[in-house]
Amino acid sequence: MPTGRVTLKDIAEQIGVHPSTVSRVLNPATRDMVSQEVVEKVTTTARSLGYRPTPLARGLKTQSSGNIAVFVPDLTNPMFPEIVRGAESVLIDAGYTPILANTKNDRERKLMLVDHLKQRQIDGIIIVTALRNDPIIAACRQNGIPVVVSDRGIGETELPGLIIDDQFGMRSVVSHLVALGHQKFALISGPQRLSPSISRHSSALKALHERRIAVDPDLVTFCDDFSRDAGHRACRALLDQDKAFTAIITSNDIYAIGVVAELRDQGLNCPGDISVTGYNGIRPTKWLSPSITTVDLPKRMMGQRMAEIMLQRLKNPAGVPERHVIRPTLIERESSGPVRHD
Amino acid sequence: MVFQRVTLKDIADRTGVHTSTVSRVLNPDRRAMVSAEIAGRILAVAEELGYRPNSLAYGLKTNRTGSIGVVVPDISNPVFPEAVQGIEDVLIEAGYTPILANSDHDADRERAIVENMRDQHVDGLIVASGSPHVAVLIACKEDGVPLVLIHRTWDDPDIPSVSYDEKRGARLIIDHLAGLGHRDIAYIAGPLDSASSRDRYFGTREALEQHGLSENSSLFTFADAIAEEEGERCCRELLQTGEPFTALVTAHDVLAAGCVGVLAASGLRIPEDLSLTGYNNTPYAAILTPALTTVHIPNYDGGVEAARLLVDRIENPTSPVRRLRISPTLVIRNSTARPPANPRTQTVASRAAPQSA
Repeated sequence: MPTGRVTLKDIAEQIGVHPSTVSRVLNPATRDMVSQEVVEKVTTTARSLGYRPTPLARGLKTQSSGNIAVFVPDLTNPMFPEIVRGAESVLIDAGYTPILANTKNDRERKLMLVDHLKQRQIDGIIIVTALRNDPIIAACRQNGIPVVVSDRGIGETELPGLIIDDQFGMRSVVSHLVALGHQKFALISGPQRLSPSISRHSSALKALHERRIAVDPDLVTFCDDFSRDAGHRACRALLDQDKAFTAIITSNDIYAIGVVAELRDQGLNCPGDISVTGYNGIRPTKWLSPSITTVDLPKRMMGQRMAEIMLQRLKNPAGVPERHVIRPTLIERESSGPVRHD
Repeated sequence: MVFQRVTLKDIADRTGVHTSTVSRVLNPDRRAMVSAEIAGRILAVAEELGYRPNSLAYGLKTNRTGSIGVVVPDISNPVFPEAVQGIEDVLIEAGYTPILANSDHDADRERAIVENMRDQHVDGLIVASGSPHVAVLIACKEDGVPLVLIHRTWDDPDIPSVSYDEKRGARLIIDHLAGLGHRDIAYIAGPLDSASSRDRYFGTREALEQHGLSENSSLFTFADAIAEEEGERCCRELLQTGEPFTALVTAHDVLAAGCVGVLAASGLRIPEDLSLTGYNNTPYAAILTPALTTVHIPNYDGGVEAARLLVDRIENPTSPVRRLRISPTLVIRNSTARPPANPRTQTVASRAAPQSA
């Protein structure tokens, strides 16, 4: 057997098909043109022979590298690894290699990544949580790289991807708290340069407005990053106002975790004195005491849907951008309880 | 295995062009200088012959690609995001772009990822893996792709690595519990196909023996994955044995988190009725109620060190290989205390039965 690289011809000879058939199968974009049975034979043989595509040649002929990037803002937030796992499972099954990038929502870092991936002939970029007017989106448009985005509020985007129905999410939070007797609310929201933060904040205000509840502007706080510490600080700032409220609606579990700890530090009882809600449904909300009432997003499914939309996009670039609406569900736990009337 | 490398000259001879033309075509930045027809012919021949650029020569003669492959087993295990942050912070500062992939503890997948990354001409690889596919590592080494292992070592002294003294970590926990007076200690091990879980398991057994507790403490269970549900399952299993124990040691904070709910549902108080420990000091160990006694593994620092080792390999290929072994430390919080006069675990077996929900 000759040493060196396994070629398409080697695979074709082994199973008795034409090399161009092998080539079609090994290119995810043209795989559909070949019968499932042959696809399986080719992929199994390719694997057993140890075939590896030459990306240089492949790039020239098909402009496809078989790689799709997934951009997430912060891997240390347990929300994002789950979305990534969902997206990966679909991409791998379709024959693509997922490339994960942690952007920290840093503008320079994102542009560097896009530039770098463009050189590597990336087929598409899935962006989990985008900035408003995100520089990546402009950069991708300029370079003709297909994008799929997540976590946009309704009416915010023309791009393919996911729309999170935050209005529904925040309405269920407000209904739940109002049913428990709450009328005086405080809000802790995320940085207003980020689409999800904007959407959640405005959805909370609207949901309260629908119940004819006006929030005291002094009891509306914004965090400038996503950390438990930010939750601690925001909670302290609210308590320092010395104004009455019985419930804090946060737009992120990370804040809610900080808030619950801060209330305990201040000698306040949650939910006895103050009820707290989170958003996202990350796992630790279940472990804590009190466990945290939150709006749960189907993270793995979101990743899968984004990947499917991307595959659709690559197959049919001229098609109407698909936008899938995600409806989150309220999980009632210990951190929200009835208002105490002393 | 001898790997006969195809050279630019082989391709030039075959297509009847000059070697420098081949070189231009194979460099994506300069390909446009050559007509599409010739470029196509050269690339076809290159593929047919199985040409693969020599990454070292490539780096010397042209610019490096600037990308570094980072392979982790499972990014949803909270240990890895921290390590990745450390890796990224160093690489980006040094002008490299990290690209990440999950191997999912799957040898085939790990191989496919590493091969794909090599085809992308990464300047180097950082592989965190419980059970790396050794053939891939050998191939990287033979082809001169700089490689650093993190979270494990490999017998080959030529491969730089960053690992943690897991046996020592396991011993710190047992020493602490034995010091408090615990004699009946149960253990939930991580999946034994991971090197770190294995070391923790052996370290725990050795430490129990050293304290003369191996007779009393015979309660071992094995989680199939580092997942909360596995912690729940193993905790129930232990309670259902009806055996008395006063301390429950777990191989990971996430497993301990799974135990918290089961213990509460069984009416066992931590630490009054039962001491509970985690491992890794993940960000959530401190905020569980009670806050978890655990072993601190400096995952971020480990990532930083691994990235530094790699950058060093890339920029000074002849520098001596370094293999770092980092010592973990014990973090004592509220989940451990002196054992109760009478163990209560054997009284709750019926309540620990799995719920149909």
